Amino acid sequence: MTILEAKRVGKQFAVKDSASLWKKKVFQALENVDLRLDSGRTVGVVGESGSGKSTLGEILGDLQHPSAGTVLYKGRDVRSLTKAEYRQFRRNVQYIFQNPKESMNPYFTVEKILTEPMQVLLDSYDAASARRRAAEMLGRVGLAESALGKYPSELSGGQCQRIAIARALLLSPEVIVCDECVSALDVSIQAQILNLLKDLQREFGTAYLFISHDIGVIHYMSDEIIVVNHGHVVEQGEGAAVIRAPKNDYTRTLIASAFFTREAARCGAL
Amino acid sequence: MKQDAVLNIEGLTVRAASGDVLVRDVSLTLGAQECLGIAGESGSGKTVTAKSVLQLLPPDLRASARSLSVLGKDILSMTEPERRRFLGCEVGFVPQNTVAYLHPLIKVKRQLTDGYLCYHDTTKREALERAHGLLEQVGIRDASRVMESYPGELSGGMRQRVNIAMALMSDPKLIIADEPTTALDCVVQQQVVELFHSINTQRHVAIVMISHDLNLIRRYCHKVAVMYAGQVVETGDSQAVFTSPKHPYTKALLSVVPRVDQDPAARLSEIPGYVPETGRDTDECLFRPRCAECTQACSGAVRCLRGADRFVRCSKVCEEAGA
Amino acid sequence: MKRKRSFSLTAGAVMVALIVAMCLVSFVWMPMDPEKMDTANRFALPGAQHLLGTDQFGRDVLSRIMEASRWALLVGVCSVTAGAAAGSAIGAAAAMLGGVLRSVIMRFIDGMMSFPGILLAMMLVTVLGKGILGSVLAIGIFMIPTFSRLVYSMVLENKQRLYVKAAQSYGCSRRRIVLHHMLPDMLPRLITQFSSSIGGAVLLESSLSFLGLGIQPPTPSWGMMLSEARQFVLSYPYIAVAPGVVLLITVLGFNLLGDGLNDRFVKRSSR
Repeated sequence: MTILEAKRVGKQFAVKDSASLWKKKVFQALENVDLRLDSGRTVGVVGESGSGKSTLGEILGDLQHPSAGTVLYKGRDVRSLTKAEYRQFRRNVQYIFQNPKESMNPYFTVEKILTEPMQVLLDSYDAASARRRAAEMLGRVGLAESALGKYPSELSGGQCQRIAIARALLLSPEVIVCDECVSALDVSIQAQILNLLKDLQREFGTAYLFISHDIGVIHYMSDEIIVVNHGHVVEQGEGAAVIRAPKNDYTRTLIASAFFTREAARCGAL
Repeated sequence: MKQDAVLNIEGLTVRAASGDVLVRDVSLTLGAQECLGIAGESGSGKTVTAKSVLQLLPPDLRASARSLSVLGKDILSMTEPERRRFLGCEVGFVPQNTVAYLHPLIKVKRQLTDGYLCYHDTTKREALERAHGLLEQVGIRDASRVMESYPGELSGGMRQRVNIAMALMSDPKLIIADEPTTALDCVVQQQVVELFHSINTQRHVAIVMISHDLNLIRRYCHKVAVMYAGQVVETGDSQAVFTSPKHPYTKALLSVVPRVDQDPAARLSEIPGYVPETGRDTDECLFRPRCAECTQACSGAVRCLRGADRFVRCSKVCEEAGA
Repeated sequence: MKRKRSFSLTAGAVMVALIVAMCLVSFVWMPMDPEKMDTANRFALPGAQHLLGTDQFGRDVLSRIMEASRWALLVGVCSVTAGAAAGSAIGAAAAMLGGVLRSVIMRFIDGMMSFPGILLAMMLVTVLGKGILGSVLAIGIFMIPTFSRLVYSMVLENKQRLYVKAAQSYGCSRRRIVLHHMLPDMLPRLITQFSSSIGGAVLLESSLSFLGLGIQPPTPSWGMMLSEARQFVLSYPYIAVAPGVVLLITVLGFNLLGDGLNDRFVKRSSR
C-alpha cells in the first residue's frame, strides 16, 4: 500500500545576494522529485551534503513546505487533511535524525523522551502503560530498562540512536524517515543499527525513507535508490539495477569511491 | 628500531587530568617516504596519538613515552623552543576541520607565509612566491586569486588544499593528516587523496594519514595501524593486513562496512556492544567483551605477536602461531 | 578569576539577604511607629533611643527605612514578575510566529527600548496614575523590552536545535515546544536577568518616589525620604545618608547576585 507520495516536489530558498544589499537570489534546493513510499519497502536517497536530500526528507514529513508540487498521504494532499487526520499523519510519519544526542532534549530523561510523543499524539494516554511500553521497546532495541532514568548525556551515541529508534517505533508509524541516521556513528555501531532497522522493518512492515551519503549503506538498506546531485534527481530505480548498471556519471563516481582498489576509484573520479 | 625511521614512537601513553587513560602503550614506526594509515573508530585514540607527536595536546592531557623521535632526533629531550622550531620546520599538519584551522579574517597569503617566516631567514617576497608556487602544485588553478581571498570565500575542498599547501611550506619530511577528507564530499575527497598520494610519491614526504575510512587506507597507504580503545591492535603492511587480517577486531571491522559488491539480502555482520570508555588502564584484552573468537587463552594479560613487519595484540593469535 | 566569581555571588547574596531580613523583621518588630510624629525630638542625632536619628517631623528614621523596604521589595518583585511574564510571552511569540508579525512586534519593542528608562516610567505613571499600583505597572511595562529581547534571541537560538525539530516531527505544538523543550534551557538566563532587573526596578521606584510620582505619603519610601531630606542635607546629613546607603545596598546586591548567578549557571550550562 502506498503511504506517502511526492508529486513533482521542489523547493526554492531566497538567499542574500552578496553583490547587492537588498536583492535576493533564488536558490533551487530541490527540483521535480517524484517518489512513492510503500509499506515494508525502503527508498534510499543518496547524495552529497547540500544536494537537497535532507530537504526532501523534511518535505515528505511536512517539516518544510514544498514551493512546488504536492505531498500525498494515502492519496490525499497533506495540506487538505483535517486536524484529526493531520494528527494521524504526524503519528504515522516519524523521524530518526543524524545526530542522536542532539535530537533529544538534554534536560529530559530517557523515559520522558520516549513517552512524550505518545502523550502528544495518542488519544488514550496513560502514564503507567506508556512507561511499560517504553520499557518493552527499550528491550526490543537492545537496551536495559534501567536506561529509562538516564539522561542522553550519560549514554553513548549508539545507545542514543537506539533510543531514537525506540521513540519513533513506539507510535507504530507507517513511515520512518531516517535522515543520515548512521553517519554520526562508528562503523561497528553502524552495522548494529542497520541490522536493527532491517529486523524491525520485517517485524512491523514499516516503510523507510533512508537518506545517506554512503552508497554502501544505501545499497544495503534500499529496495529503490534515488541519486540526488545539486537538487536534481540524476538517477532513480531499483536498487540492484542502479548499483550494477549505473546510467549516470555521477552515480558511477559514487559507486567507484566505495571500492577499495585505487584503479577502480580513479576510473570513477575521471 | 630502524635507523632511517622518519617517525618512531615507543610506548606512548596519554592520561587525562582525571587519571583516565586515553592512549596506552602505542608504538609505531614509519620509514622514509612511507605512508602509514591509522585506522580506528572515534575514541580509539588516533587523533590523540597524532597530537602528542605534534605536541598539540590540550593542557589537561599528559603524554609520556619511552621514546618519541622524528627524523632520528629525540623530541622529548629537546627544550621547548627547540622542539617548536624543529616540529614547525620538519612536520606538517593537515586537520579535519578546514574551517576551524584557518583564521576567518586573515587573507590566505598571510596565513600561508606567517609560519614560514617565523623559522626561515628569508624575505616576505620569496615566501609569497613560494606560497603561490605551492598553491599551484596542490592543484589550485587561479592561485593568485586564492592568495588574496579570505577562507570564507573558498569551498571546503579549496580550503583543504590551502591547508595542505601550508603544511608543505617549510618542506617537511613528514606530514600528519588527521581525517583530511572526512569533511569533504565524495568527488573532492577523491581528488584530495590523490593529491596526498602524489605528495608522497613525487615529493617523497612520509605521511601519517588518520582515517576511519578503511577503503581509503587500503587504497593509498603502505602500512596500516589499527587502533582500538587507545591501543594499537594490529600493524603491518596494508595489503597483508587487509587481505588476511589476524586480529579479530580488524577482521570484524572489515566485515561490518556495507559494500556495494555485496548482496544486500545477506545480513551484515556486526560487532556487539560498545567501545569501552573507561577502565582502559589494564593489561587485559580490551576487545574481549565484544570478541567473537575469544577463548580460554584470552584471560589475563594479553600477549602480542611481534613479527618482522607484523604486530598483533591478541593472545589467541599468539597461541596459534605457537609463540 | 574563580575567586572573583564566587565573590560577587556571595556578596550579592549577603546584601540581598540583609535587605530581605530587614523587611521580614519589620513585620514583627520596629523600633518605633514609623508614622508617629514627635515634634519635641526633631532631627535627633543617632543614638540609643533613635539608632539612625529622627527626621524633620521627629519620626524614627530606622523604622521608616524598615517599613519602606517592604514597599520597595513589593514594587520591585511584582513589577519585574509582571514585566518578565509579559515580555517573555511577547518575545517567544514573536520568535515562534515569524513573518510580518515578528517584525512589527520587535520593531515596537526596539522603539520602547530607545526611550530613557525614567522618562518612559514618568510618562506611564502620568497616564496610569500615581501610587503603588501605578508604579508597579509603569516599571513592569518598562521591563518588557529587556525580557522580550532576551527571550526572543534565546528562542531563535533554540529553534535551531535538532531536538526542537524532533519535537516538531512528533507533533508538539509551538506552545509545548516553548514551555517544555526550550524553557529548561532558558531558565538560568531568565533567573539571572530577573535578579538584576529587580535592582533596576527598586532604583526606578525610588526615583519615581523622589519625584513625587511613586509611593504617596504618609507611606514611607526610600526615594521620598531622600527627597524630603534634601532640604536639610547640609545641617543634618545623616537623615539622607541612611536611606541612600540602604538603597545602594539593595541595588548593588541584586546586581551582584545577578552577575554571580550568570557566571555560575549560564556559563556552566553553555560549556
